[in-house]
Amino acid sequence: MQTGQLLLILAAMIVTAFIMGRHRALQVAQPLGGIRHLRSLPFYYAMRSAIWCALPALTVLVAWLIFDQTLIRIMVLDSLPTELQPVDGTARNLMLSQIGNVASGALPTDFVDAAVANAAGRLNQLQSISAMAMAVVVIVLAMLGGAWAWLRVSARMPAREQVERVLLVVFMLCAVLAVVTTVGIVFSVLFESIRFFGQVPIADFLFGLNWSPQMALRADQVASEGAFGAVPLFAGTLLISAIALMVAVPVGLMSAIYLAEYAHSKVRSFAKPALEVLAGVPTVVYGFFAALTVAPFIRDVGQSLGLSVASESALAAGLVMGIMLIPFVSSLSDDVITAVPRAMRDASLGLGATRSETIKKVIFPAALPGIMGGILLAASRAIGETMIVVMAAGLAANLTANPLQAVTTITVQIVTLLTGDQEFDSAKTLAAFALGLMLFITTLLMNVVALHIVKKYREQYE
Amino acid sequence: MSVTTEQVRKTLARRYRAEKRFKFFGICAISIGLLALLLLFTDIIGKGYRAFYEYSVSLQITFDPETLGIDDPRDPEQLQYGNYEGVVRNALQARFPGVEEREDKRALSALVSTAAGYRLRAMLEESPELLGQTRTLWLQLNDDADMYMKTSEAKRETARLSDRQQAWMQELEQGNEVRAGFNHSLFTRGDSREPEQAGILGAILGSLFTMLVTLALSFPIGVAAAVYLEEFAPKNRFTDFIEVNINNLAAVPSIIFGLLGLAVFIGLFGMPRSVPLVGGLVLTLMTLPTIIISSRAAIKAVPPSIRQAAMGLGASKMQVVLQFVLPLALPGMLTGGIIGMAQALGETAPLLMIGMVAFIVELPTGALDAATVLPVQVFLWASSPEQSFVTMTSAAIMVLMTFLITMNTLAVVMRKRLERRW
Amino acid sequence: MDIAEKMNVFQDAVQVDPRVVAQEHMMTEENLYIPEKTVGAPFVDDPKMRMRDVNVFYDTDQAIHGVSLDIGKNEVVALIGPSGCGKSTFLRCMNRMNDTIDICRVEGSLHLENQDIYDPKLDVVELRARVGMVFQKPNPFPKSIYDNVAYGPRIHGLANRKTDLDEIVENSLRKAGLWDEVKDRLDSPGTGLSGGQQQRLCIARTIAVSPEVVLMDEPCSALDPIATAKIEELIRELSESYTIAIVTHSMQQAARVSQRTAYFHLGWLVEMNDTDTVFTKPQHELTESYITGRFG
Ligand SMILES: Nc1ncnc2c1ncn2[C@@H]1O[C@H](COP(=O)(O)OP(=O)(O)OP(=O)(O)O)[C@@H](O)[C@H]1O
Ligand SMILES: [Mg+2]
Repeated sequence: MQTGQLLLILAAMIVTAFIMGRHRALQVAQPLGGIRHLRSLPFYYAMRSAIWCALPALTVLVAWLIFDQTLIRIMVLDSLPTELQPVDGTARNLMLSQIGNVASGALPTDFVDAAVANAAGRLNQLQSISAMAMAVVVIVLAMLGGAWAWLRVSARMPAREQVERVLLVVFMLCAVLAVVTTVGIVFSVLFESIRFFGQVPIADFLFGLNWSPQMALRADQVASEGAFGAVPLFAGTLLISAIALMVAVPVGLMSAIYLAEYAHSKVRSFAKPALEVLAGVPTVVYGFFAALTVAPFIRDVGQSLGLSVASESALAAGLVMGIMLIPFVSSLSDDVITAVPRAMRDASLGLGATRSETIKKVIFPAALPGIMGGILLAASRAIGETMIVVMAAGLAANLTANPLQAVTTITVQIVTLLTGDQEFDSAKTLAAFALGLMLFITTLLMNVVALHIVKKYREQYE
Repeated sequence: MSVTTEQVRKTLARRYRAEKRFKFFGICAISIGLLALLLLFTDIIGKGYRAFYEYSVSLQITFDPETLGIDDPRDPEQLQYGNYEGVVRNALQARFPGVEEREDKRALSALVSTAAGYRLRAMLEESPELLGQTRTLWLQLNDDADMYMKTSEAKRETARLSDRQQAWMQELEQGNEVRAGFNHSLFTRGDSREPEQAGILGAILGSLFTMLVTLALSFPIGVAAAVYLEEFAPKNRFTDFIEVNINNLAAVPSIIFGLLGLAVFIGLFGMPRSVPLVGGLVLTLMTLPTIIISSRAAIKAVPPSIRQAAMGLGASKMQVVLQFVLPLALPGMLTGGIIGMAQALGETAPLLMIGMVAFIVELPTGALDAATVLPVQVFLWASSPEQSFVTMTSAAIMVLMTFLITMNTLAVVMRKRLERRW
Repeated sequence: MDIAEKMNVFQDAVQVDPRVVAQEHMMTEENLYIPEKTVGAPFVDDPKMRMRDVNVFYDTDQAIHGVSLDIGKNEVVALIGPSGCGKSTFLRCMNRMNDTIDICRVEGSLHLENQDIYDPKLDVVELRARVGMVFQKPNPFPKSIYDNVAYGPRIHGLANRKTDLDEIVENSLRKAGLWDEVKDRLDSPGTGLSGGQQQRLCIARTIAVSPEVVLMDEPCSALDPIATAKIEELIRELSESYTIAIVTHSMQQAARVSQRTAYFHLGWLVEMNDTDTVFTKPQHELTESYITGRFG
């Protein structure tokens, strides 16, 4: 039975439980003289039945769906004879995919070991058993839950309170999901990173100057010296982010100031939404723009000036990333600038300062902490930005500060290492997670600091 | 005149120059931003508009049973293996009788898209009586020939057609035997290696299924979390911790969510790669902070008097929230939801991580079919060398941007409505 | 409905001669009409500032109606009147702070000595250096005490050397009566002072550019009585060298610090006279009602 069908059946059962619960409440109420004599409205009895029918069944269903594949895999592998038992993670994955292929019929049985063919048969068998068992368990649970709720309906039962309590718990779980996500992120990058650092010393990774993960493809060369030195990636990321910030910060800040302090309301009502459109452009579009328009343009200009410019220069990616960040910087700056109280402005203007003097000497210093927070957020965006650099920056890990050369970044390497054919356990794949860990830690720190600064700043003027 | 005045006067010229300079910088900054926007849009539209139409050539097609190798058009077996290309080739040779060399013959037939064969087969399947008859048909050109037609006269030298091919195309053009028409395949097909046969429907469907999953999960969960945090959560450390988490997640790079999806949904839970379901789950986690934050703002905006009035009637806190606060906050929440969805619709990086970057020809039919999404399609095509794919990419971007701008406009309109009400 | 609101209503409805209207509609309980011409003696000989027929509009709402008055040299003039009557608006016209409000429009003639304040050729920077302003809420910059006071001299280039600047700062703080309290902590932030100290700091900041006229908009409204007393003392001292216009809600304060008082009502200047006269023998019903506390 398909999961979809099972869900449909379950939905029908929940509706039935609802209707029956309501019916039962009315029945209970009748001899007492109407629903006035129930502790809660019939609706809540109905809801209670529905919840009892749905919650246990759904919980089991979800847990089953999450864990059955993992369990089945273990059981299938266990069924293999000892000599075929995979020795390490890579072999295990290979074996599993082979068995999977045989089971799905993609690989004829006569190509493989009889034991593998057996295992494939076992896999199919287990799959169907699991599906059947799941359907039976879920349906039985739903029936039991619904029936129990139905039986328990009584006039004095606080159905509303119970329903509300369940709802509250559900609401709380939804809020806790944010924490779960963070924990999930930390663990998913941390675990793989630890495994990676088991193969490549952490110092080599952090301080190595040579990045060429492709070399590690040959088994004997895993963790060969210097192949996973991430310094060029850090440097490339910094270079491109720095270029981006050098574009975005002045332009974004000055636009915000101009719009807030100088622009005619007509100009403002046009320019502000226009800049916001820039913020809504997907990064892949910026990437396309950078790779196909800006990069060739810069290369041509460079050539006409007699400079040698790489076709995937850091400058092109950085420039376009800067454009992407303009609206971000400008809206954050706008927030903090308008938060500076009018009294400050009046005091300065009242002393005879010009507008620009007021801005430069009073508003800007007062808004500086907030602006710094905003810039930090923008920097964290720049570091974590992926598509622009994937499309417009290079793959070659050059350690250079020359913006006309091609550099690569952390995110580019994560994408390169993880797309295309891959084994889940190779050092190459794990390296991506180690890079992810670095990225996560850096951006997290920057965000925490930035949000803290911005919050402090807001409180100051509240 | 006082001493102050005198001294102030001396500085005035310099100070006004500084003022002008500063203002000029401001104008420059705004212009740079607007110019970038203009440049981006004109560049994309300039590159992409040509993908919305395509050229076809008029040919006298004879459904010759001998060439086709079909004697019974009702036999599916025969239909499947018919030599339709041969028929097209014959028609082309009939049009250009002078072509003798083998090489030239091949170059000639390369002008017409291989899609022409599929079309002939479909025609024959529909009306078997066509066998043996001759029809004048408009057949799709191959992408290179198509591109040649789309380039202006001056730039045609750079086209990827040989001189002979260019000569044939000119002859056809002068005889009015080529015409432009709406590019249907762009909106009715999935990906293809042949630019003229590729379309974005597959990607649109993939995006649709992904968005459905995202919407179905992130909106209810986000609203529930916002309701909890805003109305029920006790003011304690744990609540603070949740809040810090939400604010930070909103700023975590999207690619990290991709790593999470890869490690947890695919690695740990054994879910299939490349499917909208997993994409939707990842994007749910990614957009959740946005939706929670905006939903909380919407709940905050509901005047407390309404709550007090309802409480005064004896309603429980939960009833007040569900029956009074939520309906009033809903438009604001929907606005946040739309913005979150727009963000998810344009997202690419996390989907690359979970393998939604495959070359997929078939149109997906559900959230469990391997699929790609619009932005990823843009990414895939952008790395193809063919000139036609650049055009196609730009067209896909135009479609994507249309969706996004519509959604954002909708959100803005809803927000305006909302402001008027309170 | 209180009287002010009532008057607002008919003001909005009719734009004809207010005196006629007032007589027609307001003769009910009290004879509260707005005079066509200001009662009393609004003009002086050889004034420092001369305002004639000033009208101020916020978009289409008129906030000041044909106000004419003089401010004499080294004189303290108090502007009083019920809330919303346009005192602040009028005060802000005198150094063109209203320019910073987009929708605000000023008509009429305003002169500082012989200089037309609203002359398009006139420079607001210079004007504001000559006509300083102290605001209702103390608004020191988030900078050190020293930098607060030095701000004006710095931007105007009034001191060429550090020692000059130090001198200006010290003098201004002394004049503002703050020197002894802050001389040891000139580097600590101005925002860290008490409310009264902050307001005196703002006054010091204003007089540091040696203005000719100082405009004060309810400078004591955010302060306690002791701080208020200090500021009043200060105003009396400053009046020896500066011309001062002060908006206040406290009639006692007006009586204590000013030589002449102007009473505003709904944007009209109802009465202006020597402070003693205004408080002891008001000539107009509205003034009397206000002073005796019947509305305000
Ligand atoms: N920035 C503004 N925009 C529009 N209208 C304004 C503005 N400032 C003041 N007004 C209007 O102008 C009129 C006079 O206001 P003003 O602030 O001058 O009164 P006021 O006498 O200083 O009152 P208060 O004693 O309360 O400070 C009021 O009706 C007010 O609503
Ligand atoms: Mg005022």
